[in-house]
Amino acid sequence: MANRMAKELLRLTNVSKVYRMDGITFTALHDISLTVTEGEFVAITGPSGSGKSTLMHLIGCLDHPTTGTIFLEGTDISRAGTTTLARLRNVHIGFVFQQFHLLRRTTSVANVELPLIYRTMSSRERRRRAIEALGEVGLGDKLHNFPSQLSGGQQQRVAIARALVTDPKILLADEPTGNLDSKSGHDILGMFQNLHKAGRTVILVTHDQNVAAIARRQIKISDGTIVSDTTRKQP
Amino acid sequence: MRILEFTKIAFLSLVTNKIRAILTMLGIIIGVMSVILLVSIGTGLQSFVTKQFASLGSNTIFVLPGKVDFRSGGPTTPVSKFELTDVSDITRGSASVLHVSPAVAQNATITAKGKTVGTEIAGVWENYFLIQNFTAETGDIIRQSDVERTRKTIVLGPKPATELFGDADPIGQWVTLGAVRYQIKGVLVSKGGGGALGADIDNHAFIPLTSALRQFNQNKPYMLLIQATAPESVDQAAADVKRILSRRLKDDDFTVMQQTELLNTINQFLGAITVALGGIAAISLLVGGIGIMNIMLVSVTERTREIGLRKAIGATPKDILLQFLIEAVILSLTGGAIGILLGALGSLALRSFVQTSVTLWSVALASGFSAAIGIIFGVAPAIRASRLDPIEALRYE
Repeated sequence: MANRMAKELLRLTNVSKVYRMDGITFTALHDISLTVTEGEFVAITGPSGSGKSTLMHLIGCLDHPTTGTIFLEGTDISRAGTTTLARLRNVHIGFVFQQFHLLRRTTSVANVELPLIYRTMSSRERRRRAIEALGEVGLGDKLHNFPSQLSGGQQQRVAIARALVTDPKILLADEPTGNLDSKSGHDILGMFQNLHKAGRTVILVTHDQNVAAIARRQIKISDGTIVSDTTRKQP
Repeated sequence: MRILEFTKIAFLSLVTNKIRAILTMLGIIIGVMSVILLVSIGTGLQSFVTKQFASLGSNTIFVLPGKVDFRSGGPTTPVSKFELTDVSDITRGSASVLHVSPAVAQNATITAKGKTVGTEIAGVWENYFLIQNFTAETGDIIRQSDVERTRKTIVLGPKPATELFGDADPIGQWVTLGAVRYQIKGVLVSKGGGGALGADIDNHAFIPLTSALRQFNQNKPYMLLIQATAPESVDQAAADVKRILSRRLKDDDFTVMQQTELLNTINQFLGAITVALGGIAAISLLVGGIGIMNIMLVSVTERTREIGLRKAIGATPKDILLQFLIEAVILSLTGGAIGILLGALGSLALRSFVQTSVTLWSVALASGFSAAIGIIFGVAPAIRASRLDPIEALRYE
């Protein structure tokens, strides 16, 4: 990778998220500050209810912080409107979900094309990129299969191809192995490692310490605050 | 560009739910079909009536007893005050009048050889046939000598003639009207253009006025039928008739009505019926629209996770709104197109019974209406979809 200089990608400053429901307030995140630089492999871990999902939603431009600021690629996104956030997600974030979230009755290649539909791009170019992305995840021979015709691991690989097809700044994976058997899960994690080696910024959200172990940087969350943030030395 | 893309997506989603899409469209299909069909029957009737009147000639004037006004309620049953002397007064008093015939008419049944047919019996003069352009297919029409001698002769329209005698020659045969026997003098040439209404136009029979007055136990003709010398002199003739009758009768004892006036009145009436029928059919379109809204709301709920995913990977609220709106519009437009097709086919099939004509305006109205319904009833579900929170939507089970 040519650009090994640590370029700042994401910066959260004193971010809090408070939910109000029926007069009861619940603080999901409290005064979080963290920075992610380009090319990092970060695992965000914590037990359920720790606030790691809320943190993922904020990083993924799916939600606004109650207080504090979030900068993505140098722009303040903490008060951006829904349409702006949608565009930011489309350009900068590649999501990988636990449930895969592929469209049924839609072929692999059409599923991968999906994010590009919300851009101005010819259908030919879109198809070319989708096929290329499926090739990268090793599914070049399953272009026209429906999700039901694929194994769980293959489905998650289609989902990864869908995340990569936009060439996003951040690959944001939420429990990507949660619905997979250990072998497929292992393959998927290997794929994230390879993507990281190729220079991608990967943020992995998981409750599973074994999964988190593959990342160089570990951020542990508990009760809405960061309890530890450690980076392993490069091997 | 993006619209095209969303149209593709909408089509795909409809094709994957074929049965549901067809059932949803059914409401629109039936609505549009009935609008097209009913309006085509209405306008068909109008053109049929216009054609019939044209064949009778445009220089005819009717004089009816009492004040007749089709627009304000039905006509009352006024007592006729016409005398036979009015006929000669009019013939002598106006240079614009060619023929006059007094007439009296009643619905009655004619019996012959055990067969019975219900028809309208009119007591007339010879002039009546000249004015109405009626000619005999076989035999002869009623002549003035028949009237003078109160002869028991009858001229049949084509319909009662065929119904009573079939292919046999009815001339010289006897029919019974009430308790009185009449000898058949002639059968008229058919005026109907075929079809149910055409047969009705041919359903009549004529006897001499003098015989009819005796038969119906009356002493005055009910109406006067007048022919002007030319279409241009109809107005003059009508004015003359009014002037001559006013000498003897009060203004509200009679109504002078020109053929064209009568045609206009009937056409107005038929037009109103057409609009009313179309309106009733349009209500079913509304119901169809509600069906679309219902299905689209279900579809939004069913596809909550899909919406969540689309939003997560960058669809803006407007993108989602468009996707669902286009889907609703495609549903209603396709339904509308099928409805127009079926309505046109139906009106074609009906043509052997009733005259119909599919008009451009009814097609335009139906397609505009169905597109509007798609948008109006598609907006609410589409807005709901566009407002879904992606985080919540992705969690939806």
